[in-house]
Amino acid sequence: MTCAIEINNLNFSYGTFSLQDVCMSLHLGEQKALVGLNGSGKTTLFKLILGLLEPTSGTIHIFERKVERENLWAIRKDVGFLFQSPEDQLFAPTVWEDVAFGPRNLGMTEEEVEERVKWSLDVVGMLDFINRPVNQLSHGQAKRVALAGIIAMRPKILLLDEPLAGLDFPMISAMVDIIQNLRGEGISVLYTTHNLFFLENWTDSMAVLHEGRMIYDGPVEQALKDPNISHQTGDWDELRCRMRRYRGLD
Amino acid sequence: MGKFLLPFIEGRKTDSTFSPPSIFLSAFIMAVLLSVQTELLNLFGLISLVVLIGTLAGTRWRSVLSLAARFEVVILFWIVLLPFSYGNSILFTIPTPWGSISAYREGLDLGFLIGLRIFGIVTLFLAALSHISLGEFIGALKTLRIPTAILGSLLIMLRYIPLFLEERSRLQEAQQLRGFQRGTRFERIKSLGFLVGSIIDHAMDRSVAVYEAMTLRGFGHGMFIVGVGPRRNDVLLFLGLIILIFGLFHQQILEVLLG
Repeated sequence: MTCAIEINNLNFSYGTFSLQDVCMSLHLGEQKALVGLNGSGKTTLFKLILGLLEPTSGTIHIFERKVERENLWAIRKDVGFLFQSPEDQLFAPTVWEDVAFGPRNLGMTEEEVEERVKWSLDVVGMLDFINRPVNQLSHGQAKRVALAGIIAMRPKILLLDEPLAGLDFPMISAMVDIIQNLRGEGISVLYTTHNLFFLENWTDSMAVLHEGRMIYDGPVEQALKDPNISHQTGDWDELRCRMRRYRGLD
Repeated sequence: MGKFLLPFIEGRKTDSTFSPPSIFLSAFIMAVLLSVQTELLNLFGLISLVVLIGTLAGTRWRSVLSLAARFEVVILFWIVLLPFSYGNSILFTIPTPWGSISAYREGLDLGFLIGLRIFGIVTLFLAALSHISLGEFIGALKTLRIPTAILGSLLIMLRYIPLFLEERSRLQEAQQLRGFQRGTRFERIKSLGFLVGSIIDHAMDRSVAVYEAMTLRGFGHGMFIVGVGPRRNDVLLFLGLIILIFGLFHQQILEVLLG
């Protein structure tokens, strides 16, 4: 199977934090969850994939192209990254201008930019907000506009940092549909989550980071049966029992 | 999320009669005319003209003047300070343990003149900006050949200053909720003193994240700001300005032309 992302023996250290000997792959069209406790290195791994950070050793390949200084722009055209906080991503005065930022940098004509902006806002269901100032969007709307800004560049891979965090149910439901539709176009997705529900119901495979080490990369079902790995996603049954005890129900 | 700091029209494009570059350029020319006036009467006349044109154009004076009022300290600084440092004709003298301090009429006149110029220029620019959107303003600067690197920084600054102000408010609210009193001006300043470090820290983190977000979408690889072209009606605007300049400086112009 063709690899969209292939990471081999990746090492990175910054202060006391380090990623050690990380190996992982994301196949073409696959949807993979990157799981790990807070501070396990998930966002750092995303930044290494995008070339925002340089590894100490090891290699990352995107569609067989090595992530290195000479290839960064070519790689960034293929990989879209949704930040955890959309407020960090939207900087232009209006929704239109923010979404147009990427296509303009791709050297498109103004007509093509206009078309691409409308298409991507339509995909995320935000076309009605096209002239809205970005500072007047709710968190959920801002997240969708930030996603539109990324897909406007037509990437082949999406890296989504906690795409569903902080959203209400209708917004989660809409976001799931958006990402699912994008997958239908052949886009590979690597996303981080702490939510067991999404792992069980919405993920092809998962990779688990623990204290900077990749301790698992494979099917979800197998991972959740392993107590050492399922610990990373949280023991929700045990928490449910404890809560019932607190309420005097057990 | 908060509002922009300047009184721009919200949205992407406006359908004003004149193009954004010509609005900005004519405001700049008017500002130069205001800044070279040495007679209070002429200055009042020009400010009245700005107010008249602005009113005819439907300027949102309430928001423009409330923003202009924020410059009160700068304006008062000149009016209060200059009388004590410039002039010959003594208005009054204040005795102090270290000697007497005198206020002079010439200094007061000059202070009024500078204060009025600053007020006029600030109001003029705010009124001009209230007729265009932020996108058009940046596009206008691009048309006027301001380098993209500066425009990019300006764009981010205008977007993030209100966010930093909001962040400051949130942190101050958090302080209050944990019992910190900031009723008086001094207490408010003291609370800000505590917050400066963390606000700068947050600002740095955010600026790094924004830069990364921009880099990932190709910042530095293309033309992300597109200029705004002129409109036919711009001719009228500049014709009016030429008439105004001739009216103000007709003697000097005739002297130069006729020798």
